[in-house]
Amino acid sequence: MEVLHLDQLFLLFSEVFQLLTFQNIILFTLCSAVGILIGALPGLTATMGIALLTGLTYGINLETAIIMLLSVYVGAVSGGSISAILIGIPGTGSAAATVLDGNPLAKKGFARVALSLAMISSTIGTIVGIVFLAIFTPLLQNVALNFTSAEFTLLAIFGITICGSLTSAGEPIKGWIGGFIGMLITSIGFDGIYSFPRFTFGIVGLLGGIALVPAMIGLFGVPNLFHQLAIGEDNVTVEKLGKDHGIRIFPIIKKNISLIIRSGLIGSFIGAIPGVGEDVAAWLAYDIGKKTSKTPEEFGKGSYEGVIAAETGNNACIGGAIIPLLSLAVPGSAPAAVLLGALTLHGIRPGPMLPIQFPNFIIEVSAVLIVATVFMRIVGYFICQGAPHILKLPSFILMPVVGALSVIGSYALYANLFDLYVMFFIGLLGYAFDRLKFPAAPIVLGMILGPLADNSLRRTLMASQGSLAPFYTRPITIILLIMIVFSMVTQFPFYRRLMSKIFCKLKRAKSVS
Amino acid sequence: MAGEKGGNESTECIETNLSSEQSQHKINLSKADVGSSIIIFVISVLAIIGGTQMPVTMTGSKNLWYTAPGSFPIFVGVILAILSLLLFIRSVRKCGAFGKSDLSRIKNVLTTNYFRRLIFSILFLTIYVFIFLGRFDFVLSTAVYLFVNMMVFRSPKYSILKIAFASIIVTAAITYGFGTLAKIPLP
Repeated sequence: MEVLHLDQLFLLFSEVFQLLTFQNIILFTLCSAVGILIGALPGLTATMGIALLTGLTYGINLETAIIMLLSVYVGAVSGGSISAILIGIPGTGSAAATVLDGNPLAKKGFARVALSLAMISSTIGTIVGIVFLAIFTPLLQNVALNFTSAEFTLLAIFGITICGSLTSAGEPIKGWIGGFIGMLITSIGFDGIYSFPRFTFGIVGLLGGIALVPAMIGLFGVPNLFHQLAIGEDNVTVEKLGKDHGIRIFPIIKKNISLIIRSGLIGSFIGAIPGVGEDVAAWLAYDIGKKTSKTPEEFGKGSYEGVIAAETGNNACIGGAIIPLLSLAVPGSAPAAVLLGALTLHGIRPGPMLPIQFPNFIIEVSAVLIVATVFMRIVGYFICQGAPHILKLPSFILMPVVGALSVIGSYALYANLFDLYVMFFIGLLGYAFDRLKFPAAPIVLGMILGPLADNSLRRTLMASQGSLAPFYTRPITIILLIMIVFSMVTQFPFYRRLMSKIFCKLKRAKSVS
Repeated sequence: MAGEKGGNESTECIETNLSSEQSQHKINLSKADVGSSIIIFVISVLAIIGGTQMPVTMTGSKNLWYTAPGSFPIFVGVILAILSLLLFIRSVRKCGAFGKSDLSRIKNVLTTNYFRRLIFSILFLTIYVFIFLGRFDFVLSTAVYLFVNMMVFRSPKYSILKIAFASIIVTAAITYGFGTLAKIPLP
């Protein structure tokens, strides 16, 4: 399998132009607008938006569904910067780092400048992620062709451990617990090999297992609904857009081009790690941007570099997150996890066999992302003009609407009332986990990787007649085992103490020499 | 349960670079982790027991325990049990187990405005999902759900008329947009 060749580049441009039909232009515009609004409104998230939309796209053709879902994804991730800048509350988790410099800029009267910087950085970041996607997905698919059940078992476990380690803010045990709870949830229903009903307790609705889309809507939509209604009156100050003060954006972008490229690469790389997502990408890009800046003391006080780093990083993560999604069927972020469910619904089976069953799918996805990015930039400009009014929408009006949409989104798939009950109970569980600071992303990843881990583990043991040798004698399994151990061991205090002792000794030795 | 620590438990847990409110929040979270780790441990044990009760011999396979339907729940259950035990030990070491002061703190939480509003929001969604939908017309159910929610949680500057108007308009928009235009099945 080769990296992007000239003929594939030509195909990519050809796909981009083919997408520009009148119907698709309307679709891109509407869905980008919906995505940006979802991202801009605190209480709604990109994951929730895609989860709600997934059920609604069930009866629609594949191309239209992909356009809708990816436009909302791109729009939502960048839309989070609007509320981050204007009210100091991130519209989505991925915009949390943008608040640090975006809101101070708005308070100083530079909201318009900050929003323009954020939107352009988001655009460039997404493009960097798309380039990563187009180049590395075929490479990873090539590697994945050598995967057997043993590799997939360990990959599933690695996904849980790395996602849990990186998403649980200093409490990796909670992330790992969440991941394995997600796996346990998928044990409910007919098992994948013998179709034996597990943990159904005689309830007919559980025979088919827990449906993924209602569970995701429950996990990401319902806890927010409860929490936002419970915290009550919105007392937010929305900053005015103000003037641009004669500041030109492109010279700022040109001056910070190395920062943009670095943040884009960081975002794409983080996106490629299973289940980690845009939040971590934004923070890491921001953190490294600060450490490498000539004026780190400006960060947190309204630094242009802070806004640029965070927004480039989080948007670059989009393309990065789709890499493992398409090549290994392992999502790189929570929205990508929902996207996986959506692709499966439409008959697309991501993984190493994807290029054989759908030869140009990666090119088509890249083309849709490119067009979605352009429309996000154009539509984003207009939405920013009306943003101060949009953000004044109170949560007591918005959240019940989210409740109604959650019901529709959960029911739309199979027209089954039982899915509403699943959404509700998973929502209660999700709320409890949220309050207890158990991150939701590992739970979702566990639910997606559970069937893979279950069937692969048992198939491996069947083939080896009970021997565990395949898990430690194959080259890729050894690498995966090392990665699993590394992702867990590095989280423990004894490892950090050991590393700091080693670094201190090295520093002393260097200063002596 | 590990023994209670006395009134000095807060000082042992406070990190010097946090405000007292943040420190208290961290303490409360650690204590909640004690409870959640116990619940998760119980769930993992139940999963292991459930897994062992599933048949080991299936058609075409003799005593191949590793292919049995129960093997994966047992595998996950064991890992969850270990992780929940680690969480329990870490939380108890950090801030001790529950004491009488924690019970009174829990009672205080139950009387807050936040908790009251939370119960209402859960109750309304419960009634909407379990009682209204499937039994009554979707349009009526949704309009009532939206109206009641908006009325209960509204800011005083919004009149009943405005709330009623908003709930009817939104219901009509959702029903027409999804049910008629997009032809999506509605409950």
